[in-house]
Amino acid sequence: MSYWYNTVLKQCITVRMEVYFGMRIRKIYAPKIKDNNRPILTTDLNTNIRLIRNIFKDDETLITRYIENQTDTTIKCCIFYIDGMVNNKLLNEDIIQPLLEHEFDPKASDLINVIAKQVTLSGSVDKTSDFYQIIQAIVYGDSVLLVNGYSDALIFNTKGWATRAIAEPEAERVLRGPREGFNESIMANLTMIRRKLRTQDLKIKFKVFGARTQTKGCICYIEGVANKDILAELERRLDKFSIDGTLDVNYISEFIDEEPYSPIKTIGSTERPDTVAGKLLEGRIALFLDGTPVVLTLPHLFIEHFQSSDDYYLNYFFASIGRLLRIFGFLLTISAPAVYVAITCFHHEMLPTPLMMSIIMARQSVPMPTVVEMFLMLIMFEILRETGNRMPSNIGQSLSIVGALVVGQAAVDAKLVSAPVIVIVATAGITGLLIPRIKGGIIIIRFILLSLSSILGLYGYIFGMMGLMIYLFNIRSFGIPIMNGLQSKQDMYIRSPWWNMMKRPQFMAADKTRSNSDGDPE
Amino acid sequence: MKRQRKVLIFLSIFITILMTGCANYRELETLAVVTGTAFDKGSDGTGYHLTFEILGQLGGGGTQGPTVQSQLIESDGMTIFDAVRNALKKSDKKLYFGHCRILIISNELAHEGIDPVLDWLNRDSEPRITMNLFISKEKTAKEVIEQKSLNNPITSYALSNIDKNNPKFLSKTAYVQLYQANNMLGGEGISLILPALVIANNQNNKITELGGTAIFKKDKLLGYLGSDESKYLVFIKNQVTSGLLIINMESASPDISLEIIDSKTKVTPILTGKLPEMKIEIKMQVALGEMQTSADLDTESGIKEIEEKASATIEVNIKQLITKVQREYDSDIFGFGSTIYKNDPDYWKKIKPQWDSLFQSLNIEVSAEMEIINTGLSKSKTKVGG
Repeated sequence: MSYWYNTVLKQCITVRMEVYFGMRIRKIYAPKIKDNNRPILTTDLNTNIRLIRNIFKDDETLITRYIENQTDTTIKCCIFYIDGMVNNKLLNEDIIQPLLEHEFDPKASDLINVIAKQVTLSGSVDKTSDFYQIIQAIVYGDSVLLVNGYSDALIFNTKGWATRAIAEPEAERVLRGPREGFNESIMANLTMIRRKLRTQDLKIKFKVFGARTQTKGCICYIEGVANKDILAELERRLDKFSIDGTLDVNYISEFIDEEPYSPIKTIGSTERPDTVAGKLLEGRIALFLDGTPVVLTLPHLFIEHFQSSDDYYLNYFFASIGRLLRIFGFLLTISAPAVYVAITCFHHEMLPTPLMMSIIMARQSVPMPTVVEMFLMLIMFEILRETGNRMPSNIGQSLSIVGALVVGQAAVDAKLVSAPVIVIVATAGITGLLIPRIKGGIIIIRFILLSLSSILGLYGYIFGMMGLMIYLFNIRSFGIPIMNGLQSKQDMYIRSPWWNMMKRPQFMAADKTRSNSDGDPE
Repeated sequence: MKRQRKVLIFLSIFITILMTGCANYRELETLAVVTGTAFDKGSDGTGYHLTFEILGQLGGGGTQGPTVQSQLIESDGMTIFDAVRNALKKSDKKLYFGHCRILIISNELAHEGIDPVLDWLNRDSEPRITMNLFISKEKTAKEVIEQKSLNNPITSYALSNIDKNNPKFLSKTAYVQLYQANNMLGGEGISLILPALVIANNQNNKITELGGTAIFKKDKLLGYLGSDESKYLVFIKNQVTSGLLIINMESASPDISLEIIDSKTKVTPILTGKLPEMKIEIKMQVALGEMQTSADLDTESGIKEIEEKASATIEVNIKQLITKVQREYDSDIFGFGSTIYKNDPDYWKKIKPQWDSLFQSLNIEVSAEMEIINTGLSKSKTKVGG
């Protein structure tokens, strides 16, 4: 029967789309079941119990609660649920207690409908005879009630498990503005979005990812604002891949990425509900996944790497300075080591004389060539950064800072590396952390540029930059070129005041201006 | 299999790129950075004797780190390039001229002609055409570059800075960079002038200082103008941006200093007569910087007096200078010929063959217009009580 366990779970892609808190949304996905040998519920309760227990054989978290009504002991039923995934108080008081104590009218014929409509208190009840749906409900924290004499089952929404509290995301802190962040429960996350966007145009389409994990995910957009073509393309891509499990949105992100080999992501991600709401209002589409606080937003333009939600909450002068600094920091972090090597090893005439004197003095009795020094120190920096990430947080941060200082100063004193190289590496490293969202891309670009300029000097660096530009201008995110200035100009290098930012990104949104889209129901 | 091949192709390309080595890759510390070069005649009368000042280091080893120190490399060769390469007989570091800022040519070499010296400097890719050129008024160029400067460890850079400040505050000699010297050498109706360096005393130490202007005809040195004469030369060439004007108001010795704030010189040829004539108009704004006279001239009429006197002084001195150059050197260092050429090329073509004699008898009109626009922080002359 474990064969059934497998096939059932593999093929069971129907999910009851009930909101965690009892609201009802809607079913969106029709199951494609081909198997004709699937089990069918009978009218005999004991057979049915055996059937379900067999499927959950060796899974001892399945609780089978047998119930007989106190006044009419011929009314027999049985509740199945998974221990730990249900809200026990709700189950006991609203379902089991009424079933035990209700005085049934003996003349009533349709017992199961009476139970569903008159007896139990649960906010959401579903009647089904579909075996896959029953299994799916059980494993997702619902309770399934089987009644003797009926081949239908009642599914109660009793989901209730511990979730992390809503907290500010560590990676995306802001100086001002909302401090809530997503957590691992998709329904809680959707609630956060729904609270910000109180409009019937906010559309939420559910989808299930992962053949084994059956992870709930959803596409979220604002109708009339989001581009329909992009939405259709997203759905097409989401249907095209299959994987056994999706534990984070990145699993999906890499499947649907237009540029799978690009170090620059073409799909954005955030843990902030306000960021997602902002992007939705700009006509972008969000992709939520249960079990992760990260939400994908798409299409994702290159300039979005440099935008922070802070930008929109702080004074626009300050925000613009910050954004220009981030763009400058990006150029600096990819260029600084390459340009330093090019100038000090190839184009000595470009160095101002006093600077050259100090570099010559610093390089006295340093054993390695500048390029080797630069590579080693950059790798050292990445090691330190990675160590900082991997270490337990209570010792990680302080140790990595101290480590960086000691390694830098000690290396200079020991004449292993020259001080200017450490300065350059530190500059590149620090400015790299300014834009953490393209960290991976930055490291790769930096090393490529450094290799090129160590072979050809500035010539190589310029070649590298040209290549980078050509590459970036060729990349598309869901058909939108990521560099093509499709973002409205008011929100590119500087953040204009809000009264000047009434245009949504061109080509992206169907409704292009923000000022006259009132969102009133027609 | 296909993937393996791809990886192999990638690897072979990548490795061959790395294996090509770095043709032009040079670490900074493997270079002897030349800061200044002195050109002398070879000791046996042939060839050249070059003295390079390079960036050396002093100290190091401790926590302090090394500091920059001037170092000299001397080298002989049959040609300039030969001498430059011969330096490698002594130096383990290759000479690098990208940061060479000054060139000092000895008196002796300059007398024979500087054109052979300049050819390598113009042809080679490393030396810059913005280097400052000097003529050593001393016996050799080497002794000029040898002297320690006041506070810059590198004498060449000190001299280069002094020369850079000259047009800004002093205007007592021409400021000539290599490309300007090339233009003057090759230009029509203009002769080369270069600043000269002399050795002076400072606190019983020898030190190199600016010492007037060297006058050339073609590429050969003819003689020197003193510092004060050079100022009027710079006036005619319209290169004065600042500096002082010293005039005698009451006595034979100078008693008033005027600081030049703005000065414009216009040289116009008058080609209507039988012989060409030149008209020099100078308009300047000055500030009264110092007044040692017994009478208080810081009044409206006094200022007027000073203005008139100063204008007259300039006119007289400029005339004197031109006459001296016409008589003694017969070299058109003022560029009158090129002014005529720029105004009327056809006319210049006609008179070009006789220009030397024409220059000697050239009639010059000078008019200076002076305006004192402020008198500093004082309202009157500093008073003596009683």
